Amino acid sequence: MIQESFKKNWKEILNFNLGIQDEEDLKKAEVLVRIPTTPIEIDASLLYKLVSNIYPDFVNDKENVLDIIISDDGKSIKAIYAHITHSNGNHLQAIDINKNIYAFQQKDLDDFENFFEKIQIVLREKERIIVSGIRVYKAKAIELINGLSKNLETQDLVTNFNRLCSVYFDILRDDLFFIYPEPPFMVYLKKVVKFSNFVESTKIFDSIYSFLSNFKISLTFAKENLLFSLLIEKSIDESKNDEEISKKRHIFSIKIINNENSDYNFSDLNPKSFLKQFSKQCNTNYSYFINFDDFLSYIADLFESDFPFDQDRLSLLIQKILYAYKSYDIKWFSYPTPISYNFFVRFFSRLVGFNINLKKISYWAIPGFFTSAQNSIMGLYNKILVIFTDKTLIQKDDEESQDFLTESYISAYLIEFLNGKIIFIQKLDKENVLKEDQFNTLQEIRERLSEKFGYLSYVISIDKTLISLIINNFILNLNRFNPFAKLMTLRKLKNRRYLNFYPQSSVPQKVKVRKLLPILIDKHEF
Amino acid sequence: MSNKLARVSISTGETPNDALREGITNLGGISQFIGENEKVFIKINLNMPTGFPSNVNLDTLCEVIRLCKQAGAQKIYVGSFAFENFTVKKVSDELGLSEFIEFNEGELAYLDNSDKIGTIKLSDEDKLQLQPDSFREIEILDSRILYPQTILDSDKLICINQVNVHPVFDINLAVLNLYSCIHYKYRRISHDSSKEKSALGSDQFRSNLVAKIFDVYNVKKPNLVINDLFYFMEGAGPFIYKDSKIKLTKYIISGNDAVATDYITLKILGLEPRSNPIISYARKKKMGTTQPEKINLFGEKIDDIDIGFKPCAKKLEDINLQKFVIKKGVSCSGCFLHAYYLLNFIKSLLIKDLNYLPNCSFLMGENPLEPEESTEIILFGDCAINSTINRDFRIIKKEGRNIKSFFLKKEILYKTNKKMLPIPGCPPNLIYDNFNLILKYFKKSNLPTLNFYMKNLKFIPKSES
Repeated sequence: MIQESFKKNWKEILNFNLGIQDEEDLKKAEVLVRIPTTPIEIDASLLYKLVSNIYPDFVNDKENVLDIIISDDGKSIKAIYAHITHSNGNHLQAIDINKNIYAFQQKDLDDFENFFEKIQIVLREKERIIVSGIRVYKAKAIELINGLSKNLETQDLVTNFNRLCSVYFDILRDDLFFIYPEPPFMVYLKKVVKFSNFVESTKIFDSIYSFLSNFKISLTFAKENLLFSLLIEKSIDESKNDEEISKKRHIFSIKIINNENSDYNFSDLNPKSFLKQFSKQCNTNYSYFINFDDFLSYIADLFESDFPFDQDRLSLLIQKILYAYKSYDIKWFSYPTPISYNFFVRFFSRLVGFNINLKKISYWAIPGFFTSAQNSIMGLYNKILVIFTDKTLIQKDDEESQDFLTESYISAYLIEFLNGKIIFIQKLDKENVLKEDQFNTLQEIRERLSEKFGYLSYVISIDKTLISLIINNFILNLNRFNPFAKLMTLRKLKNRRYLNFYPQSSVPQKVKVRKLLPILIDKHEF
Repeated sequence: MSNKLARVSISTGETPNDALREGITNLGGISQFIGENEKVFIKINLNMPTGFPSNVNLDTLCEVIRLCKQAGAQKIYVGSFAFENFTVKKVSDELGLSEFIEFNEGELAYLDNSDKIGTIKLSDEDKLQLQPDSFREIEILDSRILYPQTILDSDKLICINQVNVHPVFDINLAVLNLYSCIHYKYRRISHDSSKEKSALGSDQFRSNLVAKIFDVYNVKKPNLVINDLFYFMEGAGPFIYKDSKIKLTKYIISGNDAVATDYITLKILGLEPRSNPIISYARKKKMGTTQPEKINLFGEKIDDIDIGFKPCAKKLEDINLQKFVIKKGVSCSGCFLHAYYLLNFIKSLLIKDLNYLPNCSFLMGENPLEPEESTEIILFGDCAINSTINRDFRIIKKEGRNIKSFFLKKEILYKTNKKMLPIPGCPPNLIYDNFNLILKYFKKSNLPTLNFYMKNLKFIPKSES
């Protein structure tokens, strides 16, 4: 029932875990395994430690779990495996259990509490195993996971991630997998997936990938007794042979490096010198060092949130990100140092009227300012249409062209807000948005679509190039000075080919970054 | 009012359009209200260049226009005067209203002539006088006001009122909505508090306001009234979005009598109509139908409806504005209303600035309580300013050497307390003037957000009168 390569990898993980008696065993062992359902290799001892750090807090902190595979119609059990686990979540052994041990009924799926109690009694009496939770898979979920595990060695990471997103979306959306007791992350992910009907699950990763320029970064996560790095690279292989003159090969890779093997002492570790050395060793553009506990705490906050976020919760989550961002040299480090933290850059930018002191970012006031502006401008109940365009699709960039939207259209989403919270997103077909025989200005689109979907407060068109430029110039390239590129990106915000909205509100048009800075940065330096 | 029964319908539906159509059907169809080739004026809420619900729900408006067209209306005007110093053009441009209404076969009426002014700076009076034909002078309550000719010339008047909570009248009723058929300049109620000592106790402001509201209402009564509470705004409202929320009630109340429709709307919301100042005035003056037995009710049953909602704060202290201590004396609804807006706007828009401000005592009304020690003092309104002239807090006693005396003798010196911001007016002007005084007093470095809103965005319009 379970695909062979998946089974083989899983057995290797179980065997490794079984051999671990104490911390010393982890240091001695050097076994490479794959993260299940992905081609990414990881040191088994690092996987063991990661599971010990994540599983008890996010899934279950008690021993043993029962995996039950049921038929798609939910009428019968196909297989039962009892997984013997440590309380830290590491799986040690899988025991095949007779599937007839329990007379499963379809109604058990409606009352997991009762089902869990009954199967626990049966297991205790007949197999002398006490489990702390159950995981129920429908046969289709296993089929999908099996499909993922096929040809993993020959698959590139982008394809794998696309398939991975698609499969997990299908599993959660179609209720093919259940956990009891249901952990918060599962509740959260189900809400995300069920809300995201407008997303084409097979293209999620592709969409994100297409916005990124080439980079090679490392993210090092650290805590007491745990130090590991993710080495992420996106590049284009330009080496060509005679037959492939016009072909460029996209490379996307993720490597997980266990830095525990290099001698270090967490309390004495100097993140800056570590990053400098590691960056040179791996030849990265940027290297970041993040406290793993802080990272996990943020993820836990996220999972405890409702989805979609209400405005207050979203403000809190953004406040936390901004607080972390301002805590450079305390909660996170990077090599090279972000340019905005350079004293001379700050000094000269202040001379020309830009007070950019990111250590004094008003993390406590920024979300409130923007949510208040959002509510005032857009109102408490509104619908907006966002049209994504790609300027590169049009042959000639004619400012006056009426066909601009028709030629550069990629996709459009109708977003409905209530009390500042997104309550519905719908992807619209091109035929719904644009009409061949009519003008396709934002005003006309608003009027046409308002008849069909109710009054649209705003219609906004955003070019893909602009999003890509913002990500690359303001999020990824923290370390490059290049004020010209940054200013050019900001100027594009006022170019209607890149960002346009109707009605043409005077508010965003008049916003100047320099004038906004006193709101974004704290007044007091000390 | 004749003995004819007022007709009111309570309707519901999945969308505002469905609920509205059902309501009009309950009342006998649109042809009961609109005839062929008639000119129709639709009075809406058009307050600020902000999103819904401080302005009308445009889905409801479009449906009403469609129904009027079906009935054969020749021309459909839509309009209102805006809140305070906002112009209709400003609101329309920010929301793209004019084009949208035109697309739906209506026409936005720029009652304040703001479409013809362009960038020329004119006083409110000059703006209104720009086209003398567009107004008729009418005398109400011993004063003369300009009433838009477009409304007077229309054959039928429809009022679409977006129902939100209101700090003085509990909710904004259709009769109150019709009050903005005249410019804000004429809507303002002000009086010399020094001459009217007894005015505060009996809340003369509110009485005058209600009387004026009905005088304007009587100039031209609406033929059809639609109280739209499909999306009902509760909490701080009606223009404050921070502590407000939209409640989806799915109800629309429509009727042929504004007072009766308001009466039923209050009932549905669980409020006692007779204790509402507008209904109680109408009852006293026998204007409109305020007797339930004379209201012919269609559609849903009132007893089956339960809409609990969070009303506006009844006391300024309940606004819970960080760093502001409210010290009230005897005050009228005028000061309360204006202080309510001011404090709520500060709370909503100036989140960061509040952290930079020192602690403040906000004194309002006649003979307010003593301010807290070591705080900045805001004297809001003429009553607070005039009644505290001889109070101790206005003088600071300090031991020091008198430079005027020959030997620089040590003695107790008296100085005027400069930590005071008087905001004059009875009641004080609304947003812009108050914010301008606050900005000057507390300095723009302490008020980065307010400075941003006022200087860069000009989001809050300047008073030109």
